[in-house]
This record gives sequence, structure tokens and C-alpha cells, in this order.
Amino acid sequence: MADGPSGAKKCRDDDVLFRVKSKEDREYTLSKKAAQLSGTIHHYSENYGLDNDEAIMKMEPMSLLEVSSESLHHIIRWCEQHRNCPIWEEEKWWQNERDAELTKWEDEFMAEMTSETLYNLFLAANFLDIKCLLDKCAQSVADMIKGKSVDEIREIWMLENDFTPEEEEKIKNENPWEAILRYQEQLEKEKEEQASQPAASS
Amino acid sequence: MNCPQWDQLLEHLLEEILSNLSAKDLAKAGGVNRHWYIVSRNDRLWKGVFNEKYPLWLDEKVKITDSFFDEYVFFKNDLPKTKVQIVDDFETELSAVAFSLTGRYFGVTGVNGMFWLCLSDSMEFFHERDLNEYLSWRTADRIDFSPDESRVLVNGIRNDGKREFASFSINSESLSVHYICRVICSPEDFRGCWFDNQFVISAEFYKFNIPTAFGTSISQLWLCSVPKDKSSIADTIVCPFVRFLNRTGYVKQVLVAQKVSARFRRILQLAEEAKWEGTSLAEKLLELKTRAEIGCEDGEKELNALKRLLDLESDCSLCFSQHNPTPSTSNGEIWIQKEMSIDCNCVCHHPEDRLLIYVTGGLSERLNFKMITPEFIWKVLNLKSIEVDDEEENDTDGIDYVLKRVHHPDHYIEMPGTIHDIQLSSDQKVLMVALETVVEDDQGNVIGTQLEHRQVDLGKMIFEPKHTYGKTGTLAACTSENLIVSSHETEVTIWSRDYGGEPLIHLQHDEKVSRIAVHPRNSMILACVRKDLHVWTI
Repeated sequence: MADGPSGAKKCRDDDVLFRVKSKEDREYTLSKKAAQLSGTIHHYSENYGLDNDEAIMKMEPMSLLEVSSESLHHIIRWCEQHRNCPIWEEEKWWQNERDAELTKWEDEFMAEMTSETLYNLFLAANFLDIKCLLDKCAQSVADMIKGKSVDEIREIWMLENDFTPEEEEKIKNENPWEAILRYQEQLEKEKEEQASQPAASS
Repeated sequence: MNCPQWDQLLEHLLEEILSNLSAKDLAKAGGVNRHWYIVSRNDRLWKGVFNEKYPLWLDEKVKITDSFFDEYVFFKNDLPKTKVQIVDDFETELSAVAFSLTGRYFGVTGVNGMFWLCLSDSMEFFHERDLNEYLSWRTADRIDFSPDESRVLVNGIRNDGKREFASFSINSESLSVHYICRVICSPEDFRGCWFDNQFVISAEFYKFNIPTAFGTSISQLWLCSVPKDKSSIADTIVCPFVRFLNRTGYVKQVLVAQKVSARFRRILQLAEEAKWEGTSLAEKLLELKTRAEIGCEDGEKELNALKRLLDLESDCSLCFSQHNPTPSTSNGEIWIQKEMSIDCNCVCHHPEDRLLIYVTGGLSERLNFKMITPEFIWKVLNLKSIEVDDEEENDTDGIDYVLKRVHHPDHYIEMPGTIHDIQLSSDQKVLMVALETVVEDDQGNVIGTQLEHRQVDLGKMIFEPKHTYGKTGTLAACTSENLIVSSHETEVTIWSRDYGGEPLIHLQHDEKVSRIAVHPRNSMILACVRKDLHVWTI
């Protein structure tokens, strides 16, 4: 697996390491600080008395049955990169002003993802309750939807159209933009007519 | 797992994705499939979109429709923005345009004394009359429909320069229009208006020969009954209605709101009680406040509790079930009185109460309010509108003598400028004021004046502080259910009535707009532009 964008932070040797286990039973470690970005791990450590370094050093790996090794690898990369950020509880801190370097790193990180890895990462971020990653994933998916037609969206996500023709017509009519587009077309037509009129009269 | 199961994505995760979309993409996303449709119509998403588009309107609740989605669609789609018609065969400059209370009709007047009546749905002009020929008028300048839409009042100036108004009946079925009567009034810029379905208000202005410290003139308002048709013209009565002593200036403009807010009535009741008990209104309010403190619900502010107590009668649960929540308009009755419990004091029990609103000019401009009860009208009709105790007469000094023989407003608002025009909203809840205020520079020197719209909430009797409706002409803005419409030079501007904030849309015209009217229920706007009437709809 690739190491990802340059300058990636890795856990240092002197960090207290948190042990986790993927669905495939592969063990990974991440720094205590990075682990705290996950709401799920945060609650787990509260419940199992992993509140001091000694306890963490002695811990059995926490199994994450819903997370594949590949996703876990990406998640750990994300968390290590963000370990100096405010912890998971703080509402939407990542939307505030932030350093450009981190944003650049995130964009490069997201660019690596294929549709499949992104989907799995999104689910994993949801399971592990890593809000900043969840938000970034949602943002990335939304970026793929923006400006696309309904058919294109269906194609990209391999979604089936389960509307009846009547329903489809109804939805089209209640879409406020249909009316606005029609109105704009009409305006443009009028403008064209106006523009062509003096030419015709002269 | 080769292809990821995007179609099985959990609802809240899909919502998370969709929350990053613009309104346009969000609306489109609803067309993907059923699952996406359901998630994309989640109003939490639309609230975000709505608040992004209209950040000044941040509010927790929707005000017009039931959801932020519909609200968004309303502001996107349902604004008048298409000029559907220009009526250009009037052959005279237009001076006024107005809708009736339900919007069934509208009327137009011309500067040459013509007036026209039209059905607003079909745009069918069913009546025109030349008052220059008919009543020897020089010009017509205002048209008003009675609240029940059965009659219309046209104001104008006669060839001899005197101010007059004439009323006409409208047959709602045959649409035939007949002249009923005419009434003269003064001063020259006073325009008569409907008091209710039966009476109109006219005025006379008497200037004192020798101005005194407490007054320079008297404005006498008259109540003139307008019979249903000309055959019963003999029943016409003209009674002295109210009389105001003017320090400076005179009563300039009069309007009558067809209902009085519960809070205003309650405060007047308290004042009356205080008078009988020999205490003051402040003490009565204090008493009520103590009760409010006791009745304070958890976390409720004391002032809010007091307001709640004052407004209590407006949602009287006793007769709520018997009230018709939507006014029926088929028979012309706008506010329907239903059977009700006797002990209850709620607003529906006083459907006959009217709120007289009048502007007094002079050195300080005031908006005055006076509640007119049926009892008062009874006194007026029996010529007892001024009651003076004869025995007392000898003991009183001059000022008292005069003050006892004039009426006083129940409430007034001192205006920070000159009032050019006032307009009532079609639901009678809001008063729009066209105000000219003085502009000062940093050192406090007067550098000019500016025209602005202000809004008075007739429920609370206060200026709405947050709504200032930008650049404007000397005409008060018109209001429909949801919109506020004003004109300035060639431009008609529309604001949201419920949210305030930035203008929603500007409608351009080739020449100066002299008068506008907005349909009370739908988004139809009429603009008089010289000799043409421009009709805008959605």
C-alpha cells in the first residue's frame, strides 16, 4: 500500500500506541492522540478504563469488525495527520479557518480514493464516528454529484431508477428549477427578439 | 465486493452527502430514485439551503408555508416577475389603482376624472365612467372598495376646486354599477375612506380666527351612511363623528382597520377600568404583571408572560371551536361572526370594533389611533358623540371647556419625519408608512432628506425596528399576504413581508411608476405608468 501524500505524519516511536484489529484480523497501531479523534474509540477507552498510558500499553487490540484492513489503513493515516486537531466532540471545527497545508493534504488523500474505497472509508468513518473524515467524505461525494444530470448520477453510483413514469413527471414538475430554467429561457428569447428587432426594422 | 452498494447507503449518510449540495443540485438529486427522493426532501437540508440563500432571515420556523422546501420554492418561483399584459387604451394618465379586499375587483382612476372597474381574474373591464362629464370633476385620484366589495368610493376634485367623493354600487352578479351619492369634504388634500360596509368618513377643516396656545384649528370628521342603492337615498345620514383639536396642521389622512388587535383593546380596557377605579394604567399594568409573574411558565420571561396575558383573548379556547378559521368570501362577508359564549372577551366577540388611524401634520407628525366601538357609533348616530355634563360647565376653565368638546386618540406614535402616505395591509394587521426623514452628517448638520418605508405592527402598536424598506417614493408600500411592494421612479421593488431583509426582485418599467397595487392573495401586481397599466404575475 502506498504511503500517500508526502510529509505524512507517522506515529513516533515514543508515542503511546493504541492497538486495533481489522475485520480481517490484522493488527494496526495508532497514537493515543490520533485514536481520540474517533468517537467510537473514545467511548471504548472510557468504558474499558484505558484512560492512562499504562493501561493503553497493556491493552488487548480493540477489534473493529466492520472495518476492512484497507479502510483501517486509510483511517489511521487520516487520524495521524489530524491528531493535533481538536478532538471529535467539537462541532464542525474543521469548517473554520485552517491551515492550507492540511487542506492540501486532505485533497490529495481524497484524490487517491476510488469509488469503492471511498464508499468503504465513508462507512468506516461513520462506524468509528470520525466526524471530520465523515464530513470530508460526504463533501467529496457531493462534489461528484454537483452539476451532473440525474442520469449521470445514476450511472456513477450504479443506482436503479425505481420511479414510475408518472412519479418521475410529478417530481420534475415540483422541482423549482424546472420553472426557473423555463423562465430564464423565455427571458433570453425575449432579449434575442429585442436585439433582432431594430436590425429588422432598419 | 466489486461494486460498492451506494444504493444501500444509510439514510443519515446520504443526508450527510446531500447537505453539501446547492439547492439546485439538491432538487435534482431528488429525481435519482425513491430513496434519494425521500432523503432529499428532508426539511433539515432545505433549511440549510434556505438559510444560506437568505442569511439575514435566520429563523427557526417557516413563516409562509409548512416547510423550508416550499418556502424556498415560494421565493424562487412564486414572485411576480412576468409582465403578462400592458393595458394601454386608457387615453389618460392614470392616477390611482386599488384592489378590493379579497382581490376580486380592482379599480383604476385617470387624471381626467375617469374611472374603470375590472375583474382581476379575467382582466375583464366591466365598467367605465367619466366623472368629468357626470359630476363635473376635474380629476379623480383615489379609489376604494367597501370591505364587502359591494360598493366603491372614488375621490376627486370638482371643477370649482372643491374636494368631493362619490360612491357607486357594484352588483356582484350582473356587474352593473350605479351611482349612489356624493359628499363634499375639506381640506383639499383629504380623501374620504370607508369606515365599514355602511359608512364612509368625510372631513371638514375649521381654522380658528385667532390661534391659541392649545390649538389653531379643528378637524371634524363626519360619518356618512351610504345606502345600498340610489332608491333609498333619502335614508342617508350625515353625523358628526369625531372632532380633533389641531395644535398645528390638521388631520391629513384617515384609514380604518376593520379589526382591533386584542392587546390594544385590552390595554384600553385596563385604562378605562383604571379611570373608574381612580388608579392609573401603570398601576393596572403592574397588577397584571404581578399576575404574570405568578403565571410565568418555566423559563418564560416576565414581559412575555405579560404579553401572553394581554393577548389571551385572541385565542379564546371557549369559542375557538366555533370559529370559522378561514374567512369565507363567497357571500362577501370577510370576518364572520359565529355563535359564541357570553362571558368570553376574545377578539371575535368584537367584530364591530374598528380602528381609526389618522395622520396629523404640522410641526410634529403623528400617527394616531382611536378604537371605535359599536357603542360609540350608536352615540354618533344619536348625535351624542360629544357628551358634556351640563352642570359642570360653569366650573371649568377655558381649556377644559374646549378639551371636553373634542376627541383624543387612544394612542399615538410620534414620527421622526414627514408622513407622505399610509397604507393598510389587506389582512389589516400592518400599517405601511412612507416617511421622509432628515439625514444628518457626523457633526449633526442637516444634509438632506430621505424617503423610507416603515412598518407599524397594529397588534403591538409599535414600529417594526428591523424592517426598513430601502429607497422609495412618496407612496406607502402595498402589502399582500406575503409580499411588500413599493415603487421608486421606474422601479417596483418586492420584499418579503415575513422575513424582511434584502429585496427579492426588482421590476423595471420604461417610465416613472405613479401608483401600484398588489393583489391581497396571489402575486399579481398592477403598476400605473403614465397612460398604461402594467400587469405582473408569477
